[in-house]
Amino acid sequence: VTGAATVIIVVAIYLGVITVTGILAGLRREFSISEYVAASGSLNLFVMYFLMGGAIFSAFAFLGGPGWAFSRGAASFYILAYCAMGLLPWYIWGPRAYRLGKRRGYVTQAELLSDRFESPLLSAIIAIVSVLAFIQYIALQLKGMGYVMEVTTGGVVPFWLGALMAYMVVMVYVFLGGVRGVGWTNVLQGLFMLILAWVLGLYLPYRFHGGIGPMFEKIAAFDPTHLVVGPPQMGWAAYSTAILVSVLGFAVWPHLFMKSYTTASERVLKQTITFYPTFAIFMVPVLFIGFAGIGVVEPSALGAPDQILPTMLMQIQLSPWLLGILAAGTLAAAMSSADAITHGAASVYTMDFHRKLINPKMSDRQSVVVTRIAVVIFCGAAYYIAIFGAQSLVGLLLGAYGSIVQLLPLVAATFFWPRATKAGAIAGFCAGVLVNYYFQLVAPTPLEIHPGIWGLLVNTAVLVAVSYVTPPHNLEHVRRFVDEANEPVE
Amino acid sequence: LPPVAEGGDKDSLVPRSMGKERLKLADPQRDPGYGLQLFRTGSTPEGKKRQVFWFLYFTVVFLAQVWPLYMVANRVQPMVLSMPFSMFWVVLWIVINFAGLVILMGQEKGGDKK
Repeated sequence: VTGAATVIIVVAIYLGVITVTGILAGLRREFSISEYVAASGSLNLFVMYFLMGGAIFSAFAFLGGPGWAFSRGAASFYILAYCAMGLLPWYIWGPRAYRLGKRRGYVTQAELLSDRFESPLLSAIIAIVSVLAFIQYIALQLKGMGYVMEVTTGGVVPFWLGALMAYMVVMVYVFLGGVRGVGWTNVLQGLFMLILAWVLGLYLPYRFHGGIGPMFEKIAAFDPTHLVVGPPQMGWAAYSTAILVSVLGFAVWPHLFMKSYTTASERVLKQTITFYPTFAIFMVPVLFIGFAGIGVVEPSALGAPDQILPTMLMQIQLSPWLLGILAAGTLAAAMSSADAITHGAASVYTMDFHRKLINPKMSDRQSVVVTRIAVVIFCGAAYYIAIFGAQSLVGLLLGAYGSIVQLLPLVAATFFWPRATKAGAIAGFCAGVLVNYYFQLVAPTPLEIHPGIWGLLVNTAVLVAVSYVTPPHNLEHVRRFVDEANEPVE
Repeated sequence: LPPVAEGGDKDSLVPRSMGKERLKLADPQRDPGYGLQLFRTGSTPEGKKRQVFWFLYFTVVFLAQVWPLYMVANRVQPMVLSMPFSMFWVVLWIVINFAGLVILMGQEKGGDKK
């Protein structure tokens, strides 16, 4: 119990520091809604890099990554591929979103799309689907935090309490800090995670197997199919389409569009894309951690494969102080992601749903209040899913991507295809989302192909077909989106 | 440049650009109207070629890491940098991906100076 107490004290100190940083960064700002959401476009590359990093060094990467390496072997390489290539499509969408955002003062993604398709209804539909995906994503982070606290304290802090603690902290600084608070805490957390990944990823294989090479030799002898992609761990179609849906979906997440409006310049945006694959390199040792657990930890001893990292930390009988720091670091990964996403979800609700359908004449002050209430409610819903939902961390993430990737045809049409119409966009998007959810929740997906890809095919076909049978929008209006998106602002 | 909007006309159906800065529309002679438009109006043939090249480059990066191309590298031996070959392959393509992005960024920087 003294060990557990030490862990709790270290984590509490850490959470305190992070919370104060977030509050301080936020207190110096005055609150208007666009300030709150967009930090008035002055975040520099350094902060941007870690804002982005926070999204990937999430509970999914730090717990789900080793969890998959441990339980499903080479299938976990999908995380490296997705992390390296995820931002590539952003080279196409990012600068265009940025240019239109600067010219027209957008704050959210749905503002751009509903302006192009001249439909507040579309804005509301996008808001609902995005918020549902966001909630899945927040649930994933809370679940990760719950695991970490439960295992490192030897069960003194139960799963539900660990998740609840983190939920409170995230709420506090999303509330008080706005986006800038999120940015600076992510800088701290991002740095912490990078160091942690390398130290653990190199140390654990050495400690248990005498090195990384000997570790893989041992695994190959023990289970020859564990280090190659394909059945029985994960079939080729499932593996390939998981990468595809993640790469296509990554760059159309609504919060990425919101970040593009906060970027200082187009150059910073492109620099971020360029440096992003470096995060994939940092993920390599994270996977070593999971592989190191093979033959060391009995799969049956784990409540879930996602607990492999904290369980191994317990096994090496680390001093409780170090364990506390490690627990804090893993919490950092989970939270840096959770706060950005929570913030994104609440803003999307306020701007794209509440303002469009419920109260178009809302003042800035009212907007801030609604955003805060949304933070509490969405986080609460995510907490419910985290506690009572059965999916693994990777499962939750891939589920969220399935619906988000349905935004892709709308984004592409906005920038490249003036003929696309309001009816086409709404019909295509709804069809895609329904197909995705049908194969995720009701029926098994055909040919092991990710449900999001089936949705995307139907979505695109419906968008094109319906657009051709409905009258086009005013030519000058739709061409403006293509031309303004192509013309640099600076 | 219009400042970041502070509420106000945010929700009207009138496009935000009305009455503010307006870009001149492209030359109607070359204007493709409602058609699919992949390149910036008036971009040079070299510019288009470069865009196509990089699109193909990153498409290859993607294809190398999924079925069926990945199958050639999907084995444990030989181990490279202590990693099974299947893992080394993915890491190798991360590096190729990154190198491409660095070169692309350099090119764009050079292009801006012209």
